[in-house]
Amino acid sequence: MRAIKQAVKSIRRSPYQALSASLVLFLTFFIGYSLILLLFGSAKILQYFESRPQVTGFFNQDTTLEQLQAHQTALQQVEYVESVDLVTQEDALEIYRLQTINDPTLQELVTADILPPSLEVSTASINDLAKVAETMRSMQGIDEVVYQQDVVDSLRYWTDTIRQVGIAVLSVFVITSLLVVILITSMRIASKKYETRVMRLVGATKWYIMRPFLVEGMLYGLVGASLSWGLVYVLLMYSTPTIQGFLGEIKLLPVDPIYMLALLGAGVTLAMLLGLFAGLISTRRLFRV
Amino acid sequence: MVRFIEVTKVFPNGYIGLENVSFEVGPGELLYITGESGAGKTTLMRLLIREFDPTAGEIFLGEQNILHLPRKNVPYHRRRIGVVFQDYQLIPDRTIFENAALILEIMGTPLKQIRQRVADVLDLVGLSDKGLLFPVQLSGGELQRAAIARSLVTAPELLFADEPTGNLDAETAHGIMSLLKKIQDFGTTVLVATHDHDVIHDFPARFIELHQGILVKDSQNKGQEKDKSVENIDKEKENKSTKPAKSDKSQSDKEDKSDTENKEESESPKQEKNARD
Repeated sequence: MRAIKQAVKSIRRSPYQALSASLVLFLTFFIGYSLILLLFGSAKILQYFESRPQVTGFFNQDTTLEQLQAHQTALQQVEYVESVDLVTQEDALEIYRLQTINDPTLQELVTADILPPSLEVSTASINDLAKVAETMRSMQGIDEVVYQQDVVDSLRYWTDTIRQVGIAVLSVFVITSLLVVILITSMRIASKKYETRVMRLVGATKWYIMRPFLVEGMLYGLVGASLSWGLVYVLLMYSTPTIQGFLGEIKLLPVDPIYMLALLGAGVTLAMLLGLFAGLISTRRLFRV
Repeated sequence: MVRFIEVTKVFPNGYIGLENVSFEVGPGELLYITGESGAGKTTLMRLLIREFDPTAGEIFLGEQNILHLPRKNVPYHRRRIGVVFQDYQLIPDRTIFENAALILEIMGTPLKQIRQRVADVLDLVGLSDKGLLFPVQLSGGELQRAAIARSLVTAPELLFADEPTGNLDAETAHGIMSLLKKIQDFGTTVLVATHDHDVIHDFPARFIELHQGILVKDSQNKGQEKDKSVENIDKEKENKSTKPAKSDKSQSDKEDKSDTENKEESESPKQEKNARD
């Protein structure tokens, strides 16, 4: 308790040093939390696509229903195909109407005969999509084949890039935070050199002298990590409708509050450990424990 | 209560702080340690609180040989001794009350008890109305009293006052010495390092005299004082200084390795001079 009081007193007496230490930790953990949420979201999206492996083959408008049914039957015979859904021009129009229900003008412009019929093929594994796509490309009347492998590959590429760049940036910020807290704690200790000497002469243990400095480092971590978590959460809640609208049927948001609380707990613990570690380095160096 | 047995302190560069000093102080006794500036009075105090270790000899506080204490127990040893430093060593940004409360705070004493004890000692030293002031707001005599209050707050078995009257006028010095005498009357062993002979004259008690680190006189040993006169010591020291002091060098080298804290605090000759003062 005394150590906390001393640390708070010290922060109050030099607020700008404390502010700079907390800010750099705030920035570090803001990046950290954002990166974690981004990677978590990307992983969920990838999982969504990977759990619904599908190839869609669009046929020319003049392809007859009989031809399409024949293709459907042929595909259903393939062992790794789970299901084949036929989407006729009328079905396509219905889907289009549902998607543009709020815009009657768009609905008036489109008729069934301009929409292509299609076959939607699901497989058990995402690895079979390429083979199905190849089979469909050789079918009579086929216009275009779209399958999620492209989307998944693209997503995976971006996720990996974000992860690598994010970790690199985060590492730089963690090191910077560590150095800033070490620097500020060292300045605090240097300014209290006389007091420290007196304390040692009258019988204070090294641990007793070190404790307020360590607590101070931990307080910087606590404040920085808590504030950045608050900001990230507010921004996330604010942008939830927009992001969810963009993602459509992929249910990613809102993030479970329990998950956010766990993130706060982990972040605060890490930040306090970072502050403690920085405090230990500076006090060890100055006291030569 | 306190026993110094053939204690020698040689600083890392060969400078001799104390040489073969032996004396004993009984419980509740008042002892003056006299000698000119640089005689080794403060070195004696610093050895007693184990700010550094002697090169040779043994020091006992009660039955405890303090040199056998592990380094981690030294803070607890220091709490047994009240020290009034020559330069007061009061923390400038703490009030007199907070300064006096420092050791109790370190010891983890409950706040209520701290308030009571500090109020008592401030009352004893006559500073009960100055508790909320900062050191910079006090006079020299009041600072000395505040330093005494801090040293007394744990009711130590031993009080060491280093030049408590050094910077004070005669009247204030008399007041401080009356206070130390009062503390001794309560049963505390009091060691006073001073070069002020008026103090010894006004408050007579046993004294030992140091000269260039050597104990040259103990008023208790009447008729059997050491045969080393100040003149002889000066001559010996002069002779030594013309020859390279091999043993001192090797001793100091040994100490260099064994006592890092000492090395840290006694790097320059100027610091060593201060230590001896």
